[in-house]
Amino acid sequence: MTSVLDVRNLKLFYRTEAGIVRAVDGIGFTISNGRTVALVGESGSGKSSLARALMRFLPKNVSEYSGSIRIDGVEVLGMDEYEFNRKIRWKKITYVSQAALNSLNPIMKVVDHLIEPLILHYGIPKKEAIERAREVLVRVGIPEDFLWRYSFELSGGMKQRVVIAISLISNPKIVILDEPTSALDVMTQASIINLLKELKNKLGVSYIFITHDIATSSELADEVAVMYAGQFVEYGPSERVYVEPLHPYSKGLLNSIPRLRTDTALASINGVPPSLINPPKGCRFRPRCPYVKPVCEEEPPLIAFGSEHYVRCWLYGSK
Amino acid sequence: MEVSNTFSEKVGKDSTAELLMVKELRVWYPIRKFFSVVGHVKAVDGVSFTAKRGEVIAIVGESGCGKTTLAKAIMKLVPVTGGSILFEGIDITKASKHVIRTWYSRNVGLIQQDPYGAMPSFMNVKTILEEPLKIHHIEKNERERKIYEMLTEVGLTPPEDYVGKYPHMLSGGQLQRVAIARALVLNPKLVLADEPVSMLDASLRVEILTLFKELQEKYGLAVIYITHDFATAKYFSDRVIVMYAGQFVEVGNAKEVIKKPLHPYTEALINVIPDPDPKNRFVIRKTLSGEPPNLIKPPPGCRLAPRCPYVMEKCKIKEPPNIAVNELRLVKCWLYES
Repeated sequence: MTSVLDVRNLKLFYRTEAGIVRAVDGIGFTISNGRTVALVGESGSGKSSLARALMRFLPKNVSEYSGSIRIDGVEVLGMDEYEFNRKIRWKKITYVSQAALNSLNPIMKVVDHLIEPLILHYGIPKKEAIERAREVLVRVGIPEDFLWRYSFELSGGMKQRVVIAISLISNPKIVILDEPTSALDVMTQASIINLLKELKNKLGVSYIFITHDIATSSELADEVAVMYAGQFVEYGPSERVYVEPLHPYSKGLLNSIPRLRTDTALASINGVPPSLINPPKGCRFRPRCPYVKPVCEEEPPLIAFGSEHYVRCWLYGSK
Repeated sequence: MEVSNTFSEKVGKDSTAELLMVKELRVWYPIRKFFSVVGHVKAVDGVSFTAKRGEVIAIVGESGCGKTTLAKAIMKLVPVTGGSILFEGIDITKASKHVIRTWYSRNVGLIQQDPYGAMPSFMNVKTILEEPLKIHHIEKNERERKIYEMLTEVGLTPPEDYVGKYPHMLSGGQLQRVAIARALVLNPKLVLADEPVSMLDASLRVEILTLFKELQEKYGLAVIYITHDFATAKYFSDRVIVMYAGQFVEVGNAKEVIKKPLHPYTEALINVIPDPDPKNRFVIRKTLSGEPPNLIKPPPGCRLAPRCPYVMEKCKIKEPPNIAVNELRLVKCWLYES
């Protein structure tokens, strides 16, 4: 399997009045073709910033944006904006945002939302574009006569399906799903997740699935990345991370989830996530960690367990 | 003032095990066209239940099922169309404004879903917590003491650090602690918690709910916990009521209902909730087709009939009764007719 995305030592810092916010601080991972990585972490851990870094949706106050991002074998971080926009963004990599439900223009028809990128970016004739729009709409489970409806006529679940259709219209390699279901009802949420599972199998697309809800993340994840204070603290196959998490933070997250089918005791993680302006020296989880020891004042390395499972914790490496 | 005290003492002595009894409650919102009423949205349509002192009841359902309207009706925030709400034996749908303001509002607390929206941004924590105490004519020294006590109780310590803060200076979790403090500051007997943690991070939810549960046990509060999340209902409530399209479809012990749901809607709702498990990604979950019915003109028989996988002819014509499967379990479904 070839990798569609290869990220190395990615950094994205913001400049604010209070100081430099280290939102994404040295992240590296790869995604193989058709695999899904779930990014799990609390709010403020840098999940959405990582997505922005990949899409290059950068605000004006960026103070550092460095590292390496290879999409489909091509280094894109150094690419100039024009070329990135023409070849990569919304073509190879697309994005379904948290506020996707509100991102449709209520006075545009569904069809216009779908054909706009095809006509503007690919110069496809309108007739062909409509054909393609029809095909994609049916694929996301919406009857084709909805092409001619306005988006305000759609329910929340339908809008989300349209947004997913838009993200798929250019046959991307990677789709970033940023909390795609958290604004939806439980039942609608399940039907959207079902759709994403089907699309994944049919189209072989890779997802980066961002969520704070570790239970929902397991609905799609082949690999899980647990993010804390701008860094990955654990990364590995879902068979390992959900079942035998290694990092104290991953363990804490899994223990804090109420489960429906088993009666496990619940425990929450003490304390609050650190400020990303002045993160703690050494291990960033140190102030909240129940297993803290003196060596934790030094920054822990990413320690490998086998070829795929990594953890950033001194418990697993001697010094 | 004096009237209310004697009134509450009188009622307090006459304490029965049932704190709250809701009977055949209906809340219909009128739809107006010009000056005439052309129809009703039957948001809550004939629900009955009782809450004992110190009992935690979870009301579970999707958005639009009427759970928040039910809470609003109990809080006296919306006019009631029919039925009664008895609190310590007094029908609050018929009680005078004076009784509601001086006695009832003191005994019922509310925690809202969105802590950011529920806290006035121009008031600091002290003013927020002081307001209900002022309204109920509590003396200044006592107010001060109570505010500090409540802040300590909800884990915002030391309280001196928090009294001067404004909502935007606090995190979502801290704000929700303030909301709990505000709901409990008058020592109520009943607290309505409307999705108190759904806006918070998954990892924070348990922390806030555990705190709330501790305080609930300490003060012997009755709680109506409104949520769409079965998993937290299982851990934090004694009984669960499942609501669909303005009606109760299943009532029972929380753990029993989750282990063995009887109503097709409960079954479907439980089926779609994942636990963290790597095998989930290979499973396509069974969902109900379609969407909840329009509450202006709900289906004539069972309201789930158009979506139900077990639908029978009867279901489409006749509304099912509440069938008692055993002492603790009620199901509104023709499948359980004996």
